[in-house]
Amino acid sequence: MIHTILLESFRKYSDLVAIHCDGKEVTYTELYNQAESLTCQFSDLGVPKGSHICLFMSNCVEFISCFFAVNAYGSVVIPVQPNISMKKLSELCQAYHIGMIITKGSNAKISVEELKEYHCSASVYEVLENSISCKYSPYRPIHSGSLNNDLALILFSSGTTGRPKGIMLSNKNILSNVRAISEYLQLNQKDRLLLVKSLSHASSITGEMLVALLNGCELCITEKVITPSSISQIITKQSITVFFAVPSILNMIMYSRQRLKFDFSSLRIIHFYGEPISEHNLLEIDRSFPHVNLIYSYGLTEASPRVTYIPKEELLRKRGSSGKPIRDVQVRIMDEEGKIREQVHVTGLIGVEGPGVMLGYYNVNSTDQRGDRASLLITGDLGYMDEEGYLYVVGRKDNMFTYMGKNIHPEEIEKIITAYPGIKESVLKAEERNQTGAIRMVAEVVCENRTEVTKIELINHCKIYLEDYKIPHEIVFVDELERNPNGKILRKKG
Amino acid sequence: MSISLKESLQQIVLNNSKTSELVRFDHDINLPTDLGFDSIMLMKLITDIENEYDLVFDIEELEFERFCSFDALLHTVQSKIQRKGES
Repeated sequence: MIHTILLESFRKYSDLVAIHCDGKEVTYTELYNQAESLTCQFSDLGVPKGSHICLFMSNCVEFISCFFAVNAYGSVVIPVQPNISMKKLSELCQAYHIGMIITKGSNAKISVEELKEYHCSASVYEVLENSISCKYSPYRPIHSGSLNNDLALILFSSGTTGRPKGIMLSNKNILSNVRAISEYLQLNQKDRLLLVKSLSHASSITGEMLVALLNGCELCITEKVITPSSISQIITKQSITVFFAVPSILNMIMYSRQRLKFDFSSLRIIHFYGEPISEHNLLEIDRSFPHVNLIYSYGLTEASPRVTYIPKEELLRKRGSSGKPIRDVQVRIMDEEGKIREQVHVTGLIGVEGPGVMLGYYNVNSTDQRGDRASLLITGDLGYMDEEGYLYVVGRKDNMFTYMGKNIHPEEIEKIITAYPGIKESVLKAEERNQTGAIRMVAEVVCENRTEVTKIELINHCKIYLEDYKIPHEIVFVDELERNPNGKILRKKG
Repeated sequence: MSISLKESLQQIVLNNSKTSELVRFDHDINLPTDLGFDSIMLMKLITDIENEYDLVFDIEELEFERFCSFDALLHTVQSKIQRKGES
């Protein structure tokens, strides 16, 4: 069970600070006691074991203590970012058989009146430190005992490619990933980790929160609005040693005019993930933080989430690679039918095997995520392996489109455009021409500050590195690329 | 002709919003519900404000309530600029 991480750390690091949140410090003993107290209250309230319990709050100490309490009680954690409407929350409760919602008044706005209006089937409890109190209880709350005894978490896919799905992860899934990440990060009790992404993501839960607490580190979180300067302030004030970020946030810090006002000398690791980083930005980050070990990792929630990682020296040597698989995980390249391809440098669908592979999607009886072996997860990403066993992710299968009968991977073209001096980032969009139905490739490009690049220069640059049919029809300079709330670039209009 | 803080702030908000429609600032506008601001957009908005007025909001000042509506935002920026001028 995941809660054994807290139990072990409470025994080993009792008086050390486990969590720092906006000036408040909580030791391992205090965190353990809070979680224990909450677990006892679930029992007193008669919450059936195996219930699906939604944690509807942004990052705070209570989220973490509730997470361990629910797990220790043998129930299922469903974290939800508190920026959704009450209608949507009610629908989630119905679809995922959520019997209880736990919220924190100060950081999540919940309207009991609206929930009643939508006939929400879950009870609502408010948590403050180590006690919970009932805010709303429907006539007959639904408590669904889980079908799988080892089910620990249901997380939602980011929904960039359609309706979000509920990804079921077991205790075993999570624990195996936590231990493998811990092995390559090599953390110690002196480390202070900064977590800014929402705790509703697998990467935050597994790769940051649990890894920090397993190793006796101090985990820094905030309930405040996250900005590049607030991140820089926390790094400076708290002497952060390990910072986790998606490249878009790193870029915002890098290019912020306020950056030079802060001290980043305490940092020893920057771990980034979630989206590819351009070679240009990678070199910029390396130049700005030469003393820091940059680690990139590739993964997906369905794999709990880390699959591969690559440290700085390899990142600079194997440009564009996502690294080698983490412990106990195997990466396979497959053809369209899900058959494994053994050749190197041949692009195909990326498959993942190992203890982190999810139990499945909640209430979806689907086998289309599996390859020719039941244990093989098809990621939906395209890539290839080199002769040394390094993975190269080419793009998403969903992003691929056909132009003049040929497959176009937008990421390949974006990589070439972004490699041109003065280009910060780019996205290639396929627009349909109204009358003919033919595809028109439009590259939206963001230049660095004070850089002047012409469309002709970029087209000529593309002509050097790309086949004729891959050259964009139009280059549009924009101030920034459109992103979803998770920071991922939106590829489709509307 | 110089423009007022309110007008320049309105322009920054509009540049960062999702809406292409005409926005009337004749009542208090809620940034998430009226203009579609999500956490990334809010982050970008605050960064643009910091760059435009050469400010850095202290972490203690970054309460969501201070940035969630235009009136609250204007008040926050006005106070910050005033404090900067006094120091």
